[in-house]
Amino acid sequence: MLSPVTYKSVKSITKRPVAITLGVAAFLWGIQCLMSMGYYSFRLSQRNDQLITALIAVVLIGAFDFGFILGNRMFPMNFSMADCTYHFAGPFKRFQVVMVPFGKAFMGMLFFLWFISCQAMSLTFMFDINITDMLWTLGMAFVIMLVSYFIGVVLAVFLSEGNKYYITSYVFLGYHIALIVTVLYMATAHFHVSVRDLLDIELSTLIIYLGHTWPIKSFPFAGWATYIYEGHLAGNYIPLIIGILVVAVVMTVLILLLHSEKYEFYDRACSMAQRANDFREARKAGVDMATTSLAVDARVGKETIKHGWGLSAIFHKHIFENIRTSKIFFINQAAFLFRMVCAGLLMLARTSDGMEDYPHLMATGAVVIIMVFNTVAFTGGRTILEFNRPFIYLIPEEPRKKLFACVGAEIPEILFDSLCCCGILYIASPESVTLKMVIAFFFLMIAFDFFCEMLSLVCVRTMRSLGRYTLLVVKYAIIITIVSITEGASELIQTAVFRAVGTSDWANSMALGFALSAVIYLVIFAVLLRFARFMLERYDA
Amino acid sequence: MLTVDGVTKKYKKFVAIDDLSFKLNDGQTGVLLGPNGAGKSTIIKCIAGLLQFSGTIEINGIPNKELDAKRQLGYVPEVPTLYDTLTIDEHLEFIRRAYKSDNKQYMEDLIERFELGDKRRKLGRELSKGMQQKVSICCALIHDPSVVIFDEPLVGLDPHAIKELKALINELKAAGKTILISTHMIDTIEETWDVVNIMMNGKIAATRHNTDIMKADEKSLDELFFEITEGKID
Repeated sequence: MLSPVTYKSVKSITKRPVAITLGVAAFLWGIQCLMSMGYYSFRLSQRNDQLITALIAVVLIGAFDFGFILGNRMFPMNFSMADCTYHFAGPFKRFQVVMVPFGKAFMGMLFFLWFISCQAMSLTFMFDINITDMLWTLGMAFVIMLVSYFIGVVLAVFLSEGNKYYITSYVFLGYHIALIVTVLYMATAHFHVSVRDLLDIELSTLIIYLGHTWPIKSFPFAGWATYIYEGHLAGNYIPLIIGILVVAVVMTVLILLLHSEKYEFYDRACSMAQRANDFREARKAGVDMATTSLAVDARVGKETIKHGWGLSAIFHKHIFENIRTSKIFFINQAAFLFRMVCAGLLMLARTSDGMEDYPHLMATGAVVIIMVFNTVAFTGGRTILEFNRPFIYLIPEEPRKKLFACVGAEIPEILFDSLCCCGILYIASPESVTLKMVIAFFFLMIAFDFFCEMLSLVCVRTMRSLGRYTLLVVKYAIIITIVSITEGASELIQTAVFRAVGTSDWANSMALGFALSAVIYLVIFAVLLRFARFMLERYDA
Repeated sequence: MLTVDGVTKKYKKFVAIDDLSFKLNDGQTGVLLGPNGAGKSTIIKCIAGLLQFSGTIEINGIPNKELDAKRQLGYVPEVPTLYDTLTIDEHLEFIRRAYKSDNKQYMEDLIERFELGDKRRKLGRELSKGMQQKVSICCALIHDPSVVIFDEPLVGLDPHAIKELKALINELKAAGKTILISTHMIDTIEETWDVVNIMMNGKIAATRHNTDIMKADEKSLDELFFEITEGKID
């Protein structure tokens, strides 16, 4: 007879045929990626064992961190309210309870391994990594994730009492900052260059050096595992035997510690589960947690928001929500993250061989990347959230005004985001970007952000019957298609302007192109706004 | 038998339960009465072993965090919590296996009694709040515990289920089980209680036995409750 927990897990899994199908498909795709490694002979560079060992070290450090975060930060969050009721109050030993969220963590580990497997082809082309290297990497990454997961769990459960668990986060963060600072300092000293000029060094040379520095090689488990791989390359399996022994001893100690009854984490897990449950219930009821029991004269700490009556209350509520969520409310966190990634990619592109000869191409490329990222960053804002709740429909005002009240509250985020985009444009090509271009691009991004938000709203309101996940996929497909078409139109305008103004005045023609593109997006935004208003009048009244 | 002795529960500096003590004997039905925020659910969660506390809680003389004590305890939480992807049958089977209970007939009786028969293949997430509460009650009773704690058990139940639950509580009481009910609705417990502890600010402000109320000079439960909660007496 199955144990109760196994029985529950088996029965739960069988209710998720879509997830199982996707999981099997993903697994087969991962296998296919690994199998394809040996099929093509084209390589961008010759095999270099030093480089491969260094790359493995980087992957394994990622694996350690991922496992640790799953175990330390995610562990208390992975208990449901039902787990609290039936496992915490039920006749289960402490270790059995600790193992309840392991299933979710295990799925996370498999996802990490799958993600690495999917990079197999690229790694082969770029660094001539073969399937043996990949299998070693995947095997070691799995073991390291298991060890780091249990280390994380032990620290989480033993430090839960008295809310000492923050110590782990500080130590973890501090260690990583120290690691980065140390290896950067060592690299600058080794290559006799400044930190900024490190990017000018050939990437493979830099990775080889960094991957073999003592701070990386002494990184717990991940760094040590590189000795095992170096041993394998040299035909020496003593480090492997030592590694197996170390892992066995550490895992035994961790599991023994978890079998002890002298720790208490139920309070924290219950409070996390309660919070998650409250949030879920509030979402079902159409109430956002940040807005629960929000009066017109809202007060947070010493701050009172006294404005807003009738329709304008919606505008002020949004602003208030933003302020309550974060003091830096004008930053759309998702968009900011995408902007940082964008800036990083463009900085890397700038250091690539030959790109310095094409500053104009860099600027154009930057615009395309920024706009493509926008399709994700600005297509799920507060306007859409507001129209998914019932309250706005109850306000006796015209739909047009309601739309403006919501969209208007997004202006601070959009303004800041557009400024960021201008900064990125400058980073991409400081030699060719002019003030006129930057100003025109600023207005283009404002128009484009509004356009994205409204396009997303129209998609969400017209296709609600598709269900959450299908809607998400269809929504992004439509948005990306429309953005590509309009971006194409915008590029055409720019080319036309470019020809009309003359090739000698590239910056002015770009500025004019941006301005005209902004007008295009504003026009589409206005049409969509009209359409959204029509929908609200017809379907939502 | 349920013994709560000197239990204190703090959330940082906030004292949710302050040196609370009471005892319920076999066959006794105790009620924790009090307004919202009095600490009723907190003490219930402490007894169920969900929260850490200082002091002692014993179930039939065994510390409540030990497995032997947990096997003798049934707990109905304030908010019914079921697994989204388990059916009613699977929930009950999971609990039956967890408590190693062989009494399948009792499981069937409970399903019938709470009119869950036609919904036994429905998933937890497909059930209404009231249905979830019924399943939650069945899960708490399926292993025939000797101490049963109910946290606001009647909230969300339909009239038939309320009637059945009240009858069930009386049957459990007659069978010698110890029952603790937390509520802020006085009228729901009028027919069942033996001893009432009225809680305010994490403390027991007054204790009354059913026999006391019968005496002519004693205040009714309603009067006493409002006197305490509205601050007319210390």
